[in-house]
Amino acid sequence: MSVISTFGTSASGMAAERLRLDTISSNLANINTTRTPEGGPYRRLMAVMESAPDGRGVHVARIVQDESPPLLVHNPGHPDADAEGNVAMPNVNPVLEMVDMISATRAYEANVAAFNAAKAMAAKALEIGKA
Amino acid sequence: MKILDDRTMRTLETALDVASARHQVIANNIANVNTPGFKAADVDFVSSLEQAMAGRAEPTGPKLTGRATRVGHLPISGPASAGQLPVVQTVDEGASMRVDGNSVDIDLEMAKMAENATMYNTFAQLVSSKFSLLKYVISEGRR
Repeated sequence: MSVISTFGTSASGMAAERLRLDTISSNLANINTTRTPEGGPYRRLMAVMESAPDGRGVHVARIVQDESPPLLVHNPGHPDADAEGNVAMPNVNPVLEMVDMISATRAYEANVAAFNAAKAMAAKALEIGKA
Repeated sequence: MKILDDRTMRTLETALDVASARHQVIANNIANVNTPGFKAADVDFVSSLEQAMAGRAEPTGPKLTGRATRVGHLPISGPASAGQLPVVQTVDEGASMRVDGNSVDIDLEMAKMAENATMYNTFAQLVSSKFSLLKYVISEGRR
């Protein structure tokens, strides 16, 4: 086991957090989307994190849709309004998304720190015998 | 006394191995900071070093054998200086303050990582110093 092999562990953490950040930006971008290919309003996406076997980092097992009901907003003028004038809006809560975004950013930074520590250790090991 | 394979060198080599194994475990904890139900692990440095040294201190030493991926391959083996190190791992199964059952404390992990990296650098520096001493002697103290 070498320090070099831990690069992969930290990289997997970075990749997973970035993917989580991608789902968050998708949620925020689609916060007002009422039409999707599957029909109905956009549904919030969530990344499910799963630890890799043998303590070799993490990966996103799958991306699931939030099955909570869409928000009904009274807006009779909207083309997608139903008979009562309610529009089904995406179940995206911007506050929740912002909090998740901060959490993902910080976790990403922590992985970068771990990666840099491993890099410094490897560089130090390469210095053996130089002086 | 052997010049290169003395006890100091072997201890330092093993300590470097244990420190890098510990870094792997800490990096894994950090990577799984948002994984529900994940329990943080740690490597007991002293016990791992003792165990690894006990393994290496034997006169013949445990042989690391190459894994043959085909029947026709010749068996290869060498001294147990590379590859998987048997480290003493502890898993924090205690109560977590988080609702998702994850027990990673990111402050603790970052502190442990800094400590471990410093230790690794120290051992690497000591190996370096040992080599410069040898060089000094080989060049009859002229440099």
